[in-house]
Amino acid sequence: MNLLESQLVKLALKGDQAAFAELVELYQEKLYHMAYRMLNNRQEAEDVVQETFLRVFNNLERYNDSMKFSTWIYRIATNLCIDRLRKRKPIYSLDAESTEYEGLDGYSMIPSDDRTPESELLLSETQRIIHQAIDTLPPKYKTVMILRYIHELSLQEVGDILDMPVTTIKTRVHRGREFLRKKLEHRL
Amino acid sequence: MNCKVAIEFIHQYLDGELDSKQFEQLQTHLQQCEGCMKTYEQLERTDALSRFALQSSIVNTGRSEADVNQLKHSIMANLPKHRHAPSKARFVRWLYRYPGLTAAAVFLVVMVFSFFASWDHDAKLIISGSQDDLQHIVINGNTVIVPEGVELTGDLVVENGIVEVKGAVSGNVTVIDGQMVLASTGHIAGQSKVIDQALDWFWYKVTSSFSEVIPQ
Repeated sequence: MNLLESQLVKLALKGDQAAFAELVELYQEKLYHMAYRMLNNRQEAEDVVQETFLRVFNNLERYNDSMKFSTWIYRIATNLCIDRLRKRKPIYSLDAESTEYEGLDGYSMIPSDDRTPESELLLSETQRIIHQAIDTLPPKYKTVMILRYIHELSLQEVGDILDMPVTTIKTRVHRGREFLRKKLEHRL
Repeated sequence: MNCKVAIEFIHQYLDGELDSKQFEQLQTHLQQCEGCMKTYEQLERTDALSRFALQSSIVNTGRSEADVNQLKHSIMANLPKHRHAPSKARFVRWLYRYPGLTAAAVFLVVMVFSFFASWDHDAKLIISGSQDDLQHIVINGNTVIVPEGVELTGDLVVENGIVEVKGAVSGNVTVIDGQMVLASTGHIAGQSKVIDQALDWFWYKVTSSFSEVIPQ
């Protein structure tokens, strides 16, 4: 257990706003990138981060040291992302590639996210292709792959966050990798 | 080694979970099997590129310092002012800590309420007795009359009314919140009681429920 984090949790529990702000500082961007990769939408990613911290704040006294703070906060954020992906699905499948526009899928047609940042344009063609392939992963593989790769979390940590046995995580990493390999086979 | 095992070993190798002996076995197979070698190269590239793409996008998603600060500000601004009313939380925690006491307190509250509710109800005339006896009774307003020449064989209980006994009653007569008038011709073989106080009434309820339970 990270000593600094458990100390900050204790202080925040006593009502120390600055300590909570410190926790926000530590995790905000990590969670944002995870959520952004999951949802592929800036606004939704920010909403998820905001809601995660609200939940953390309201449930601080329920947090116990048996779990790493990072595991706990990632668990909350991942669940929020998965919920959003599930709610999105029945409307229309974003994963389905449009037949009209070659290579475009539903994600690229979400109107709310028109704030394309200038440096996103700096992404190489290779990176863009890979991100597209990751976006098409089914949610259960996507979650595992993103958690595993984005912050180099161990298989055990990913298992803790998703509350699943490590063997399940391994299987999902293998299937996810296989899925991506087939997607990228002819494009790279 | 067959190809299925080889693929599994490749994944484990990329997970960093293959020991050196297994790695040697895999190498031997890859040198002989062109298909697996190709898959291995693809998987290795996929793995490295995914990691690279996901991690480099952290540096490279175009989040300006303003974006970061704005999000932080809105997180802090949207937190509730007080996490919760502490006294309430303490009370609720107390309830969880002493479930026995909580149950006892709830039981007591319910008992007290039901007691007062049943004692202090409206002034409805209630008569109870055996069915044969009730046929002979005359009710006039809130007055219950046992007419002359009639003999009641069982007990008679009247709530919120006046009882005039002109005939004979071989059982007990009990009047709750009312009056009893015994005419000169009347005769009560059993006990006669008038109850109009909560404590008496309560005592009566308790003793009567016991005497009902225990046959005399």
